[in-house]
Amino acid sequence: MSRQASGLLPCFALALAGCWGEGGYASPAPSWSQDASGAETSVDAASDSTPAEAATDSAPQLKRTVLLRDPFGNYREGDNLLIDGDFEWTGGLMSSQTPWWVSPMLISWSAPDMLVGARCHSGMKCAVLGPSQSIAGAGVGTREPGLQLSAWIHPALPDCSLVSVSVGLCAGIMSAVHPIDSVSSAPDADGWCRFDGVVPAGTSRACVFVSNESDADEARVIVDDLVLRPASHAGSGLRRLPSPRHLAAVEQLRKGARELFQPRPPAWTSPPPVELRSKVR
Amino acid sequence: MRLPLRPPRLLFPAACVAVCAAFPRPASAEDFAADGSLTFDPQAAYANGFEAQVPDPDASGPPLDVVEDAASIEGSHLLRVDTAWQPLEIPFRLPSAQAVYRASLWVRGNAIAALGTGYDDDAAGDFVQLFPTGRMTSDDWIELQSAPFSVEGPRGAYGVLILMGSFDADAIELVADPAELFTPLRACSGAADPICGPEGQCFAQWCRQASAWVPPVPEGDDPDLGMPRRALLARSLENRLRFFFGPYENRRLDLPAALAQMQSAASGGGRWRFWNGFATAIHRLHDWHSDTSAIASWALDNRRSLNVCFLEGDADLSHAIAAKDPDLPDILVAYTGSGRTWGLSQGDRLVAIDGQHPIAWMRSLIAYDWDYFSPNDHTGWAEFAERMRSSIPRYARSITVVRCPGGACSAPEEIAVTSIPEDDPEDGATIVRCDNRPTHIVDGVPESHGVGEKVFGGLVKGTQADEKLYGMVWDTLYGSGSSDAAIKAEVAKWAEAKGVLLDHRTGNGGTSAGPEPIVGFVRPPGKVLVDLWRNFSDDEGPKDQAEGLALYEANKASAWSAGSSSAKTDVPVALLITRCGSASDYLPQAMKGAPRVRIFGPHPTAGAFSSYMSLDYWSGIMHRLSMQDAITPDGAALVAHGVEPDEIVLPRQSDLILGKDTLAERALAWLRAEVTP
Repeated sequence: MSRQASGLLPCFALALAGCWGEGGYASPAPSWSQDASGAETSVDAASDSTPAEAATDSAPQLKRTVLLRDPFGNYREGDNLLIDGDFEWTGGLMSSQTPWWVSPMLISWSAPDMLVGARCHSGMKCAVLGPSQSIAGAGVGTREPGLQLSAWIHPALPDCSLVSVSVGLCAGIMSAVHPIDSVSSAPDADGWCRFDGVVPAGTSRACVFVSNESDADEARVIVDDLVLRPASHAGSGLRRLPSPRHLAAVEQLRKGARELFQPRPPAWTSPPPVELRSKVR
Repeated sequence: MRLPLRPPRLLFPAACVAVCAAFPRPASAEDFAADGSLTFDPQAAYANGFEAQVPDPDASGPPLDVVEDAASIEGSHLLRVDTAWQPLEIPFRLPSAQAVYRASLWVRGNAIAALGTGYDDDAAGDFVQLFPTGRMTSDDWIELQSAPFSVEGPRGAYGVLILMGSFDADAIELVADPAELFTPLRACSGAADPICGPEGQCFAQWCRQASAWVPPVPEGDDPDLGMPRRALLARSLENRLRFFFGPYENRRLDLPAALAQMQSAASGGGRWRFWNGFATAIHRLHDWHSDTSAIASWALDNRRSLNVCFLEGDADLSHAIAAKDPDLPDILVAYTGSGRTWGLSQGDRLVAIDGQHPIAWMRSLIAYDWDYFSPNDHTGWAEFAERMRSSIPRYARSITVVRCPGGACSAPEEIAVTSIPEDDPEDGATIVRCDNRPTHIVDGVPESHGVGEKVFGGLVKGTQADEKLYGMVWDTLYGSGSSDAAIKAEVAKWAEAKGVLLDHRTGNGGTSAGPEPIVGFVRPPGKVLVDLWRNFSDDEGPKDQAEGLALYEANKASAWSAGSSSAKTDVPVALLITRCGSASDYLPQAMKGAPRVRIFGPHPTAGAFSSYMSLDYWSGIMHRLSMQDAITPDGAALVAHGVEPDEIVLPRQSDLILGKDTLAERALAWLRAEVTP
């Protein structure tokens, strides 16, 4: 999948009409372009170079490039067993009981911090984990023997081992979690680590757990585009063991899940604040 | 409270010239210069780069936080937005011609951006939300854009940019799009009025451009999968319901219709057909927790409020005048506020809305009303009755009533909604909330019926101190915080009670911890149920009782237990129920069958023994989805099976006319008969 502004010649905004796929630059309607393989592509306004690289004596300082993505993210994976694998439906005004939640918890249930824009892997939104933070994403299990998880994670440093990913029961106390390894130890050219693996399917609901293993102040991890699907086998091979920090975070996140799995009032018993109501007559 | 848009006093912003509309050109929107800076469309009807924003002279809020920032996408300044619930509003004038516009705005961060439109001649305005187009920059700006929307410029049109959240904003622009068909402002009648077209919605007697309330729908085919993107998105949403919706009985009864609805939405049409189809699919789940909302439905006002509360009842005084429906309960006026009552009084009967039984009419709004709300149990209607007061002004053409002043009922009378004068903000009306309580059993409850999260207790009104009959009125069972502490304080007072009357006729739920202090008073400890969060994408629940028992046995270690070894099982306790769900199902479930408990109500509770997840697409499509069922120690799945009252009591019209509360009086009579001398 090509995400970065690559593969196209420098293409400045004022001459862009031919650089777009369907819809075209002149159309204000949303449209999504693809590269030759059909993958989501993201190029426009200037070059595929970084602004610093693009600046020359004869050219104006390049402030930014413009990209185009599907604003609904990765819905092609319609059989995703995660409720919101791409984070496009997490956050906003409905910030309680979201499909993703964070540890450590400030009070009780908290959605992760969200990032919006081009730094996400797909779509418009993704999650950001601060130092030593972990998140869980809710899903359901399968009758098949295994579960395959694919996830894209951008660590702060070019080292995929700075992140732990696992699949396990959402709420079971001290039940096993199955680690998912990154495909390679180093990120790709865009800084993304792809985690992919098959683990035994549990006997209950499945959750995905992601931990930022670094506690350095600036160590922000971006998490996006997770797909959990049934697998016809239970996986095999050696995987690195989950870190004690990750396991501790999983138990914290499960505690939050157990609190969630209780009856709750409906939305409208907490009506929108009066400031939002009746704006238009 | 009404907060209508204020016509702005701003002069036309510099980029908006009066001749814009006279020379329309395609909506090319803004362009990017070679350095990546954005430049406005020179013919934009309105453009604001926040370079020199002049505050609205009428603005009551703080001045706009316009800052110089090299990262601005247009010019050298941007607008820094940091709001809580009070949105930032920026008014502006629109050109005087009829035109179709698209609005666009660039933001950095998770933004809520919308436009309200209005007219100097007081014609109906509309609401337009901006959603991501998918266009974004390498430095995290993203473009938000609206659907095309028509503006009747000759009426004196103005707009208000509404911003909420914490983000940077820059480069708001409205560009005329002459390629789009202009839709004139039209009056309409009733939710289903076809005059508003497939992408419009009749709301409060005016056609609204509903397509501007919702996000776009992806177009074109996915080259890998060879399928239309619209169909792929629809499949993803359909599978959200198929995989994650938890209640077993509602899966069996209602999920097929919801899935079919989604498949229909996928088949074609505009963005409103698609997203309204998704909302309707959720409504078809018939689930108390699975609901929808949108900023548009919050922001749009109606001009005729109905300050009247309805409930299900027995219109015993008027069946000779208007026959009772064989299946549905009568609808009666429970009480009214002061003013805006449309001439109705306590005990009057609402016979029909648009010629249909009021409950049938409320159910017909399933494909129109994003606030649609139903119980899981198919035999209760309280959720519909309670919301009639807001649905009628929004969606009805007429209501048919039977007035019964002093008990003498007159012939049915049809009232056209448009015959009701629009609200006068200065009329001093006192608006009431609807809580299914014609009277209050203890002192202190506000006349507005605004119980909210408060708890009211004390001796039951009309009883003698030496009877020691205690009462409590409350709506929520959060299980923590001030309301929980107040419940516990009331329960402590019952140590000397000879009887207790509990009025939970509005039961908003909470958590399973909420009912425990009350249950602990009435019964010894015991396991009540097991919560079953959805485990598998294809889980259809136990096939029979044996499987149900096995499921309970396998999960009973986590069963919800309630009750106390110090329960006062010799004290009679009467519980009043009407519109009760979630933890307010758990409460009567745990109380039912306790030695001295009797439950009074018109029908079962909602049967919503579950919890949910919240999903939110830029706050234009918000919904919740129940992901749970519950199972009893005898192996029965609970959701959609509300708690049956021990005694079914419907409020009688003949009582309401006299200001009497049938349920409360019947329960009090039982208590007195049960009290040990």
